[in-house]
Amino acid sequence: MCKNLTKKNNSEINYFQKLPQNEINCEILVYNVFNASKSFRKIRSGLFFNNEILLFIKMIRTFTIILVLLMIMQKASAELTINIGFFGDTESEVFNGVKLGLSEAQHQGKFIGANYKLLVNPLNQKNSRMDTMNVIVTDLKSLQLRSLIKQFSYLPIINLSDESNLLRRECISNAFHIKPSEKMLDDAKRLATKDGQFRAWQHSFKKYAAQQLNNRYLAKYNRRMSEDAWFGWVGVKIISEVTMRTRKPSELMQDLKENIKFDGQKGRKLSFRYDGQLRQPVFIVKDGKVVEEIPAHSNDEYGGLDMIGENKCHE
Amino acid sequence: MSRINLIFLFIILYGVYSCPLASQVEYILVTNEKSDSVSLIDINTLEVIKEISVGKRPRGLGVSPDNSEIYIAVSGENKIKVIEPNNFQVTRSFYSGDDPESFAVHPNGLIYISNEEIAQASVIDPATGKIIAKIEVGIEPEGVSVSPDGSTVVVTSESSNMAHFISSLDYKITKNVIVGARPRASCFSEDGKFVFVTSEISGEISKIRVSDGVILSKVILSKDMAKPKDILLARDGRTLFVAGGRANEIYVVDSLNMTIENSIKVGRRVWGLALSSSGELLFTTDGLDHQISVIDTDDLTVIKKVKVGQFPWGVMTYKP
Repeated sequence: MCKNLTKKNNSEINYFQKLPQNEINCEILVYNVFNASKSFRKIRSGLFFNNEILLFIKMIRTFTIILVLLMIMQKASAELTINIGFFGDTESEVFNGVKLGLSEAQHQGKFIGANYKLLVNPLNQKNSRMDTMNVIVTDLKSLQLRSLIKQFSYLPIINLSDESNLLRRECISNAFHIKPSEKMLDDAKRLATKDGQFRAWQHSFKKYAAQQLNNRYLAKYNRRMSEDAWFGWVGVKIISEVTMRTRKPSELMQDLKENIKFDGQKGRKLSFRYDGQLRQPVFIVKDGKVVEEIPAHSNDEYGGLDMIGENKCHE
Repeated sequence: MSRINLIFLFIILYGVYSCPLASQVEYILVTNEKSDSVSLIDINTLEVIKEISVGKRPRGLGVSPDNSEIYIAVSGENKIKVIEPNNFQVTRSFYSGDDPESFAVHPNGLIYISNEEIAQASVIDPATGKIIAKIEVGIEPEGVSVSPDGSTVVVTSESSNMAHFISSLDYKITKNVIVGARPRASCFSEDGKFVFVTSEISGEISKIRVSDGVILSKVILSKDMAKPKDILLARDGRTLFVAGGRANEIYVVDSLNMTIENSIKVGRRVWGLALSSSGELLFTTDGLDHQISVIDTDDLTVIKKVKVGQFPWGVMTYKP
């Protein structure tokens, strides 16, 4: 508390040593400001001594240090830092998507005091700060992925590349699957009314601001956004979406399982199913154009997205 | 001059000076995203009287405070086109920054516009056509609204999911409020104390207290296909009209306790909204049906559907 803003002079310096700790900084500030202005007046009027100049410089220095410390403390308390581990191929399209997602998360974070950092393949590096990871995104598959999920059972693992039904049926509590499962694609084929390739993203898609996302990817990498890149982008963007709202990275695993309403720029609310699979529509692409979105949007629960890719958990 | 002639002269003069009756003249302007035009509709006959060619992909519309110029954001050309309201022709244009979408005209005449592709809001002086300020905002900025006293401008960023509050004094952001996914549009309450934001993907309308940026309450639309876009305040100062997107409905919301009071069935993918100057008629752009619906705001029924150009996006009314 800043109180007793009385004038002090040199002889009163000892007085500060008797103050309770929480009042000292404040009083020193008052003293310094007061004396700085006094000394400055003396310098201007020519009535100064070498000692006083020294004291003046010291006071300015102390004042600056305290100000800087206060600014750092204030910034530290406001900033939220999320450390995202990436395990996998850094030459992949998936990783390009991850980096785009990261840059968008950082842009978003600038406005709300949140910071997102990527720790790339931290197992291979010294001083990787692996213990600071809040979440892992990965393009590893099958056994490597399973081993990662097991090793970091206390962290959410965002699977970007493995499509195995078996993995979903295990309903592993820390596994979240962005890539559509085999079953999801099979169900989509069953519901399709048109022919074409089945995929989760298309670089030429324009609706629902897909065009804006495709343009951002094209501008950053000078190449079209593949579905692998979209998985990577979603993996990071969904982390930033949830953490910016809750500001509790330690509770991310539970929060991802809540009924989130993620905008994957596909025009629907995306969320995770009990088996960890991301609910999402699948596109049918013919001659470079999206000719059908499956399932069709409805007013059923989750907009009808549970019509594709439901894997029952093993007993 | 005979007495009869005098009477005729009086009748003619009465006709000339009764021109203030012409103030009942009012128009509806609709931007047609795919036919690169603005449809001009007579509000009394509800007939299209002109289709004005304005350039590639017109979207947002607005009018200068002195009513002398109508502005159209032409997204595909990075320009604001100016329509002169005497003959409804494009008379000039100026650069708007990249990919202009929505904008709002401040009471002081400056245009606040969102530049979707570059995460920026720009402030343009339409008199000179110069951009006088650029404000970094979230990704995919869209809806822009100005508080009644002109002190605050709200820009929503669709992909960063926040409403940015900008001071019109120094063009600095004063608050960032996190809202539901894909915020598209906003409007202020009459007293300027609250701002209402629609979130398209999460299907919500948030009521934000302007003084501290706290979200006081939300309307969550129950239909998954309800994706709210435009929002505006009815003339009673209390009722909100919300365009429900692919639910093909308009929601009538009580802004005081944030409850849905009614819904009105309109055409497919309804986005744009505008009121007649009297507040008696509400106009909606039904994008996939290439029409506007005309709603009587008293009994909340659609009284007419008017075909316009391809994929109508925005709508405004203009009273000379």
